[in-house]
Amino acid sequence: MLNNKGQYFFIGILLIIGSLFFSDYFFVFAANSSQNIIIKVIGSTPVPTSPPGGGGGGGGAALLPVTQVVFSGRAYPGSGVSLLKDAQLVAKTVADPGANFQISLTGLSAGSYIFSLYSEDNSGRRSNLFTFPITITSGVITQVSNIFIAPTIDLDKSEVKKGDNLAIFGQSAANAAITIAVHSDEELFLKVKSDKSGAYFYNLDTTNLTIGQHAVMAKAALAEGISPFGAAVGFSVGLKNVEKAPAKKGAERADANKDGRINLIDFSISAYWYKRPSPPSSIDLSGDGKIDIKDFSIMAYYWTG
Amino acid sequence: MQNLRTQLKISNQRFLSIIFAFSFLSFLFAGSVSAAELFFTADPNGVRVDEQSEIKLFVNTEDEDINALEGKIIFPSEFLDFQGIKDGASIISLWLERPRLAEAGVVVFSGIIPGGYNSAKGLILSLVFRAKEKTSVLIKTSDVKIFSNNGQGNLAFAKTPALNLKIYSPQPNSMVQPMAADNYLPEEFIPIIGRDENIFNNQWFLVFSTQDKDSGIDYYAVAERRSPAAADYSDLNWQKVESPYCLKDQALKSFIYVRAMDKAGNARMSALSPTHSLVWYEKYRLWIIIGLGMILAGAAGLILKRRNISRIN
Repeated sequence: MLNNKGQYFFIGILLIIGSLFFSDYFFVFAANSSQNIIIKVIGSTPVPTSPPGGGGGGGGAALLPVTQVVFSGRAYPGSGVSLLKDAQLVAKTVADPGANFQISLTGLSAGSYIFSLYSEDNSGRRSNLFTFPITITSGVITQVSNIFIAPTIDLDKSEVKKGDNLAIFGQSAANAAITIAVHSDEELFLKVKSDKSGAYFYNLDTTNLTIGQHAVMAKAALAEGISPFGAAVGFSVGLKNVEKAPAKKGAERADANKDGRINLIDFSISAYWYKRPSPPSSIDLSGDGKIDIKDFSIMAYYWTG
Repeated sequence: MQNLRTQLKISNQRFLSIIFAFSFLSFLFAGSVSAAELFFTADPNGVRVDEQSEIKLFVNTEDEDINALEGKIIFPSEFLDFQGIKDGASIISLWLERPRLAEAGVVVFSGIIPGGYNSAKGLILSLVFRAKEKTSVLIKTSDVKIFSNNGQGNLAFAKTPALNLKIYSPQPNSMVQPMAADNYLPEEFIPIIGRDENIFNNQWFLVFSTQDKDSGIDYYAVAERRSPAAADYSDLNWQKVESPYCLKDQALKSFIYVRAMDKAGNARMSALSPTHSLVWYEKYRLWIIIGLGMILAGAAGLILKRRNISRIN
């Protein structure tokens, strides 16, 4: 009959032997086709824990497998990167000068999660949420790599006089090949390279664009991978130049408590008025006089966690 | 300039023509337009009378980014005995209406996926039934709305095929597989205190949300208590609430406890310390000490007085 100390020692030895056999060899690769991320599941590295009961003198620490998810990829040089787990902000980090970032998350239960990442460039412009579902298995390390956050994009005008130039700019990883798609009658694909800081700029001559509404969006490519396209920004070609307001109107409206974030508090404020009569117009995002799922769909798009 | 104005006019006319043509073609070829699909799956081995089984509702976004959906599930309650709903593994991060049996044979649900979702098989919820008799039944959805993740609140096209479920005779001497037990607590969470002029007359409120990856969240309960902190949570005055919850102690001088209970009875606790500390006269322990001190002082005074009287005598 083993005493407590002996039991923990025995379990510890078993786990060490198990980890030697499996840690380096037991892994699964999965590539997410839509976003090119790589999901790799590795046998966990056990972490020592104190034996229950405490106080019995040293030795005999049990080794328990850790459940961990490690996210890594590229954002913008020196930019803040935020990680959301099931819509709630759980971690933040800063990308290095090469735009690389890594975030580790522990203390998760086994199950399916929706993770989202976004970054904010050096001018405060926010990227799209980069969202992907992952199923976590207890006691293993899941590595999610090759994440490439889409470039930010902005314009100097909301309306441009036909024939004048329209400045298209934003930020991505350093020295990335940026493709700007201009949605028009005939779709245009413009190429530009980001500089050392990841900033890019393109002066679009609008002579050949038709009068009316257009939109632009951008994606970035490096030898290591290609980002998805980011958010589309609209503009019109017309008779005059109108400077573009810097603030995002939709995002501002979705921020019910005006704290600069769109999260559970804003959701709860709107949820209070869900299907109730006479909601305040400031939270009626669709402007139809009621708070229903349509308003929450608009809010979900601008979510920051 | 005149040329540009003419061009603008032509552009508007052309825009209307395109919209008209697009609408007409969409109507003609509605079946071929890419659409998100809500579909059911049942146990591939079939459902048998008196056995408990799960019917799962999934969404296939057909490569479109969606972020909100709602609807109703209709089933014949005369043939299927409703046992419960599992939403722990759902792709829905925040429920507007947590899936519930609204009336006999009707389950309603409504929720959002902040940031959007794009996959061929995302689980929304599972319905647990016990079949009553050998027959064939139809399980379908109605009033389904699926929204695109584009910040405009646009509806995505939704296909909603029904499930034709065959219920077989009970298998003689079959071993009924019990449903797996949920031994895990709901996820850790941190409640947030807030106030806003749009709700509760600008009073302080509490918001909270967590997930249970197995059986799903059943309910939340809140308790508020002024100092000292609770040593035994069962002594607290728990109240079942929903987020947002208007705090009783608007001075924010209480400890706030929030309990998330899953459908298997596992509870996750989260506690917030008081935002403001009590001033000295609000601490009832201090009054007890002062009271005891006064009693002792009074008693000592009485003793001294009696001694003095006895000395004089």
